[in-house]
Amino acid sequence: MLTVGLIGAGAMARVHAERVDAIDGVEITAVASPNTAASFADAHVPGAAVYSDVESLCEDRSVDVIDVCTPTHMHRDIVEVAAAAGCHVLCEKPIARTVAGAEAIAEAVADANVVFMVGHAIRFFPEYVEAKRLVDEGAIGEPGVVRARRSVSFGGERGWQGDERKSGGVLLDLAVHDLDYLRWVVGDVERVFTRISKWGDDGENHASTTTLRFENGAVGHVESTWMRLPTLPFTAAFELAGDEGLVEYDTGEVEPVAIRDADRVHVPTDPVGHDVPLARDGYRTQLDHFFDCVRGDEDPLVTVDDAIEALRLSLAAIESAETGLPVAVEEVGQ
Amino acid sequence: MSTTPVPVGILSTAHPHARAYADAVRAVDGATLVGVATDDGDPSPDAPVMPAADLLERVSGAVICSTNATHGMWVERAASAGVDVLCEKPLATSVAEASTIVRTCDEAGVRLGVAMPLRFSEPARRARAAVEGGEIGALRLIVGTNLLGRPGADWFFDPDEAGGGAVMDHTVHVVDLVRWITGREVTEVYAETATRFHDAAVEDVDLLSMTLDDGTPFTHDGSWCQPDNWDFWGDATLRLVGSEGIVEVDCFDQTLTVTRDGGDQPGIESVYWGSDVDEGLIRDFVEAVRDDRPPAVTGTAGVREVAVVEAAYGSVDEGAPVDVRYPPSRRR
Repeated sequence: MLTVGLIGAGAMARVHAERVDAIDGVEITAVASPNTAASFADAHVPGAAVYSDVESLCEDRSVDVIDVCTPTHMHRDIVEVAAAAGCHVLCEKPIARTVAGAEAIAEAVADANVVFMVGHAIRFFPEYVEAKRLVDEGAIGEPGVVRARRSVSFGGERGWQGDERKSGGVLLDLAVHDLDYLRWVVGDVERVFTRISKWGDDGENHASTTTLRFENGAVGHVESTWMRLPTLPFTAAFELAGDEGLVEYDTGEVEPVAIRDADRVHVPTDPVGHDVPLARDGYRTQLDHFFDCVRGDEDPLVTVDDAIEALRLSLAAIESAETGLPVAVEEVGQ
Repeated sequence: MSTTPVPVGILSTAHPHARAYADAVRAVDGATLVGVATDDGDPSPDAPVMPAADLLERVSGAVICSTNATHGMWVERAASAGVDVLCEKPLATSVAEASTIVRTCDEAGVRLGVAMPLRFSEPARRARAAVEGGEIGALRLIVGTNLLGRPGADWFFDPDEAGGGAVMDHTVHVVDLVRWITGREVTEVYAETATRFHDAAVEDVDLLSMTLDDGTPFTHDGSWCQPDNWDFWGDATLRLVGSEGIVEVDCFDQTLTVTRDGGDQPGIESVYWGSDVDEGLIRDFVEAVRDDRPPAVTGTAGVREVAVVEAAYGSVDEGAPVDVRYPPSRRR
């Protein structure tokens, strides 16, 4: 039995808790969060011990794994404590808010010799996995232009994601998914050029567009939007064009089940919910993979270097949006 | 209203649109296709072939379907014959040449239009009405695509005939659409280009990151990147993100899905059944000739769109965003 200490009590903590509950041989035995650990545990992990923070959790009990589902700016301190306690660590994306924080994490997990992986979850989403496999097989020949986009809407309080000092805004919190994915599929990125619009209360709505120049000469485009428009469905899409073929995906064209009644039209697309009709969704597959890594059966699909490079891509985009100039990715954080 | 059909000729058939425009002239009430003058021995439209001088004596309007580099020469011939002109896009391969074309037509007193069929796309018209009606609030981000596979003639790969590659060929349709929908001009362009899909001396990747004069970011992908076996010729799409909502347009997303087991082209194909944009374009031009009014897209617009293309190439040269340099506008 692997024991897990879950840090955080927000949306991603719930996503992880619900899926771990279905995995044999793994149990969340403790939850830590400053104010809401008890109510979260009651609702999602009945019987788990509750703590206010990772320090008290690690001092009080031994767990095999710390699962970090907290705001981005807190990742560094939590991973350092967990690694020092000898725990393997699964950490929500992005790895950290800054390159310095990410490098500190890399050093801490190397020193402790623990398994560490950042949850770049779409690398485990079957549609993204299958597209990557096709490109690797040569289905599109040499990639030439690759495009990816992601759009999320919100209704209520923004919380920490609305604070760019904590989340980095849409270019770090959301675009990092597609930046990491395109780098995984095509290779390292030489430069990015980004434009962003922010509007509404405290500039809470973000719409951004980033062009990429890969080291192999391919060109990419990432569009990332979050806005207060509750009627807007979650959308994600990509087009991977090469000299011998094209792979396309768009959530808007996927409708395996639709429920229409007097009150609503519901077509499941939001991967964070449980409603996407998959026997095992990407979050579950990611957790299964990480626990296999902890058991020594697999190596993390997302290396710490991958996670740092994804962070640097987002930080390069933020810098480009601020300066109005293209930014060389390798110079970020140097 | 005159009952005499407007006589129309086609000058050059180098551009693959010549056939569609010939069909459109035949289809439009109030127009008659007199003939085509070819300069490359390929009279692909099924119409009488005749020398340009003879054709220009018999028509009131001419549609120029030549290579990009020879638009100026054809416009000069039509204008000196007093014939109104609808010129294939881009108007010219440089701002200087495009401006000369406008001046030539002004001085000859003939009407000049640029062939922008997307202005007659019904989905695009609905999108424009939604934006103008304030349905999505203030514009915050625009993302366009005008993707294509292999251009329909070999000269598109010849820098001398085409003046460039995908940036020259596939930037102006969507730039024109955005200018029309927003009433804004492009002020700055950053371009990423590459040659990744074809064995060519010109770029086939056309990815532009622009700003409009109100600061709205606007990116456009006009790459020649679609596979030869794609189910459709390409696309023309726009996503307009506003402060209060989003409008998405896919101009040619009205198709049947046709799957053939045999024949010359087995496989899956999408067959368009939406309103014919070329007919809208030609009808507007014919009415402009008949009523002596400007066509929907004038030479002045054409010059401004070529200026965006010129800035894109400037950005490639400098590796940085560059300002679009518009010539002083002339008023008729």
